[in-house]
Amino acid sequence: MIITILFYLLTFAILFAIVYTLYKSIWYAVKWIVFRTNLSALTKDGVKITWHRKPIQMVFRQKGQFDLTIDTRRNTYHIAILTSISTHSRWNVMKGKTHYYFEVRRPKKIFYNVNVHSGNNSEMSYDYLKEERFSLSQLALEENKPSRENEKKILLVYPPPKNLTYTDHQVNYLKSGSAVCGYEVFYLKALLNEIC
Amino acid sequence: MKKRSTEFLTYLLKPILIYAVGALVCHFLSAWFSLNLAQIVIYHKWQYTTVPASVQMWTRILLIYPISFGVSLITIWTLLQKLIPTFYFTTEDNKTYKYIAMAIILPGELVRYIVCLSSMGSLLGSGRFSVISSNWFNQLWWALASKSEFLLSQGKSSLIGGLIFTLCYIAYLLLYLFIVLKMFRYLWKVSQWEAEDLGSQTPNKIKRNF
Repeated sequence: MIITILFYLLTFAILFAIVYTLYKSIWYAVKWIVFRTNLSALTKDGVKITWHRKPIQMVFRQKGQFDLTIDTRRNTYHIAILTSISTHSRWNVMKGKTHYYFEVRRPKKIFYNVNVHSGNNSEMSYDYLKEERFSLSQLALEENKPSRENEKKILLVYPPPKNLTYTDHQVNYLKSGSAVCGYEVFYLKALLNEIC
Repeated sequence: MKKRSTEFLTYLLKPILIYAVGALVCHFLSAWFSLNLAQIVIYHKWQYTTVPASVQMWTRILLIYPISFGVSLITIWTLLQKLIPTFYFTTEDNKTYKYIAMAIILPGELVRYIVCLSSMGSLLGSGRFSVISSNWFNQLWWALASKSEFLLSQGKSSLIGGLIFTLCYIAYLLLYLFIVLKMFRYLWKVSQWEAEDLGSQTPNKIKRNF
C-alpha cells in the first residue's frame, strides 16, 4: 500500500517536473521574443542596434561579454546581458580574488518558508541560509573605462529576478543605476527610459 | 610508495566505487520505474490481451527511454554534486579533470554494461533490468532471422543479435557519457573557482584540498 502511494507520488512528481520544465522553457523563449521586439521598436526613432552574439550564445556561453551595442545620437551603450531561466531567486554578483562571478541562488521554500528579513546582519539572515545554488558562472567583465566620454558600459539584467545582490565581503542590494566594476546595472524598463 | 597507495585508495578508489554502485542503483531504479509507469499509464488498457506492436514502440520512444534516461541523469547529477567537491584537488593543468572524470566514470559504466548484457531478457522474462528491453531485442532478432535463414541455420543469429544490442547500447552510453562529462566539467570548474578564487564566500566549503 505504502509502496503504491509512494510510486504514484513519484510519477506525479516526475510528470509535474516534465510539464514545468516545458512551461518554463516556453516562457523563457517568449521573454526573449519580447526583449527583441522592445529593442527593435527603438530603431524607428533612429537608434542603431548591432548584435554581437546570438540569443543561444547569450544564454549558454560566458556571460559578461558585450552582446549588443546601442548607438543613439547622444550616447553609445555597450551592453552585456546577465540572464538566467530562474527568476524566483536571488541573483548574486560576486567578486573573487581575480574574477567576477554570477551566481543564481534559489530559496528552498518547500521546507523553510521564511519571509522575514533579519535586521542589519543580512549575510547571516534566514533568507540566505535557506537557499541553494542553482548555477555559478564566471563573468568576463573588463575593469578599464570606455575610451570616450559619451560611451557607457551597461550590465543589463533580464528577465528581472526577485533579488539582485553584490558581494565582496558583505551583501549589498543592487538597483537600476548602481555600478559594478565600471558597469552600470540596468533593468530593461530603466534602460528604455534612459535611451528615450 | 606506501603514501601513494593510500592516496590512491582514498582519493580515487573511493569515488570509483561510489560511482559504480550509484550508477548501478540508478540504472535499476530508472528501468524499474519507467517500465512500471508505462504499464500503469498505457498497458492498463490491454491488461489481459497482447499489446499492439505500435503501442509498444511508441511507449518505449515517448515514455520508457526518456524517463529512464532522465532519472539516471538526475541521480548521477546529485551524486556528482556530493562527490566532486570532496575529492577535488588543485591542478595547474586544465585537462586533468578529463582523465579523472574518465577514471571515475568508466569503471562504473563498464560494470553497468556487463550487468546489462548478462541480464538481458533473462530476469523476469522481460529484460526489465536492462535499459534496452528484451522485446525490442527480440523484434530485431526475428527481423534478422527471417531475412537470413542461412545465418540462422549456421547458429550465428544470436551472435548478430548480441552485436546489434551492443552497438545500440554503446551509442546510448556515448550520449550518456557526453552529458555526464559535461556535468563533471561544470562541477569541477565550480569547485576550482571555490577553492582558488572565491575562498570564504562559498557556503559549501571544500572538505579536502591538497
